[in-house]
Amino acid sequence: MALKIEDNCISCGACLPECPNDAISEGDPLYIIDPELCTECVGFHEDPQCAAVCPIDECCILDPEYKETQEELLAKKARIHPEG
Amino acid sequence: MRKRKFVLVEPKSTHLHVYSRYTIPRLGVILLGTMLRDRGWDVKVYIEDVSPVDMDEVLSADIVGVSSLTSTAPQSYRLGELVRSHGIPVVMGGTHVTFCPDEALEYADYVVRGEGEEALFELIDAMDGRGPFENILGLSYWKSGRKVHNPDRPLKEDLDSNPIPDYSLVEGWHSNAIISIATSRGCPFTCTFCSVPGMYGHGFRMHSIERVIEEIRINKPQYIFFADDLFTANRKRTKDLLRRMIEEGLTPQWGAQVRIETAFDPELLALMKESNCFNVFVGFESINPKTLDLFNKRQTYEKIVASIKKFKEVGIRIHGMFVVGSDADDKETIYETSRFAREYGLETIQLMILTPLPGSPDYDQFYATGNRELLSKDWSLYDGHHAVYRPKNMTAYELNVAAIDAMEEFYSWKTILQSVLRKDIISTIIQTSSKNLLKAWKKQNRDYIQGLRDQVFDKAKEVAVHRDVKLSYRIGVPRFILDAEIGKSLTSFMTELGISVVPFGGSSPDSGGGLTSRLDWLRGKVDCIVMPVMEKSGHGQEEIYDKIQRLWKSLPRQKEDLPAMVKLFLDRQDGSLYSSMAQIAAIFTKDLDKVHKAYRSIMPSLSGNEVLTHVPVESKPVILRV
Repeated sequence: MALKIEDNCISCGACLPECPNDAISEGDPLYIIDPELCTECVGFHEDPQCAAVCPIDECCILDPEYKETQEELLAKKARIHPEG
Repeated sequence: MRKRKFVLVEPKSTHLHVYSRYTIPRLGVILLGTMLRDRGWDVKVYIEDVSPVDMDEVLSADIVGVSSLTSTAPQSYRLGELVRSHGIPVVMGGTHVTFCPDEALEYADYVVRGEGEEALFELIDAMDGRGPFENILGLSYWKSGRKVHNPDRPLKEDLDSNPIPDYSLVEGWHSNAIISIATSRGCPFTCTFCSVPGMYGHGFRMHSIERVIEEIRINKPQYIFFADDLFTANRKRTKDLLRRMIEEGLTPQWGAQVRIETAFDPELLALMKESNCFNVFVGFESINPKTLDLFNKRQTYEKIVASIKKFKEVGIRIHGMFVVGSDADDKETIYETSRFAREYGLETIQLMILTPLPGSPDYDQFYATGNRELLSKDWSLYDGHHAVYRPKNMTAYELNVAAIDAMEEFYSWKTILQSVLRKDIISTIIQTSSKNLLKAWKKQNRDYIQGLRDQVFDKAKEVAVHRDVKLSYRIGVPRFILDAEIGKSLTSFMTELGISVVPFGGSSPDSGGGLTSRLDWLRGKVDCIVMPVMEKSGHGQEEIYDKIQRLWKSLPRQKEDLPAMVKLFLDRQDGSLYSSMAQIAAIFTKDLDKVHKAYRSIMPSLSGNEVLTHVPVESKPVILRV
């Protein structure tokens, strides 16, 4: 499941440098997560890093529209980072 | 060769305030002193809250640096003026002068705006003839009798390049009991009353964990106040820091400023407890949801309650920080806040009066633009304990009294006794001390409060002087005002107070006879005449604006024998309407609670009144320059 940024985002940008997949971009006015690039940090970290650094409660949350299994997320990671 | 001498001074506030009994040192002068010492200067650092300033030392300096908050600006300016009169150059820095450099330059040779650790040394080089003043970013200075403001300096990124502040430089510092350690600068939020992002930016800049650990190790404090504006802004990093503190066994008691979200991360909360977090200073700000929105606080009442329960579950003490007096607050909100704090068992609280601090979005939007008026420009009153503006739904007098009284209600013997019964010695001591402090505050500020009260009864006194008969409990109001929405609200308000409204004139000031004859007619029939004031003609209000202007123009010059006139401010964005209505009511009653109650009854009708519609202006940072 990819994460998404809710509209309570304060656009502080804390999440931007944390994403191992460069899935986050600065939108107008809120930051956006590209679900095609989000792997919930699987393979890199135990927890999604955007949520870990976000100062807002319930801002970076799982997006129910993009349900993926652990295997699918790992496959996505392998696709984004073919070098490993 | 004699070392050159640099004396740094952080003056203290002239008024008592919530932290008067507990000195939590600000770090600016200590850090700069450390850097100067490392570069070979003979340094003296005076934090006036710690020990008195030795003027012999100050006046033997080669350069004097003064750090100023808004509430300490007058003290800083007095010192600056004195030092300059002895021919010693004065450099000022700090939040207040960052946003008011023109004002500060009247008392200083140089003003360092924003963060000073780089600009100060470039300035010293320039003073020594090693470089031009023009290139120093963030510097304001005098050049050929004119004030010059160089462009702003970007915020410092590499915080670790600063040395660890050396507390031993502070004169009179003889205890490691409470130490401030800043692990970061900046706050990602934009609360409308706060000047922190204006000074330190929205970006969250951090010291490395290694560096923070070293700072704790060197200082060996009994209690650390993490002086970050928001200690848990980056929860991942805060957790990493706390883990390291636990691993290293460096776990003195500590406290920090946090938001309520901190309580909703169980892992963070557990680490805080394990690392010996003693108390959290939580910016609840308000229990009024409308006020939370006005403040752009981005939190809800329900989450405030939930966070308190979570902090209490793990046994972390809460110092509840509230700001009272927004446009959505009234007196009852303030007392309700105190009741709330008691009900949920907060250990300590502060009810700070909303204060338009230069550098805050509120100041830029409302006060620097002239949309709202400040009651006083005596900066020493800008300490959160004095009402310096007209709140919307109460008088400044009522706001000030309520804020202090509600705090007194919190720090009551009952609260203290409950702490005693819980065997909570620390709360007992702090609460008793706060109770005494509030008593002392009231004594110190009696004249100020009386002055605010006198403003409410200004017109009452005037009427009392002029009238030679008993009050008739009638007021004269132009008929065209009574025909408008505001007229209906005014009539309801007066009726609630047992006062009759007598219309005068026609539906417009020109209709039917001259104004003089109509005012003459009112003589003896009413106790005062209400004169509406509109400063701007808003959209859809052209007609009423025009009528008001004509009313004022047709006013006779000789007014001595007419009934007293009271201005009714219709379109100011602040609480002038309430203040003018209270002034009218105060002619007839001394019971301001009754007046407040009457106003509350008409509040719903006022909120829909176009004349009073609050028009938000886009907020842009403003640096005040003459």
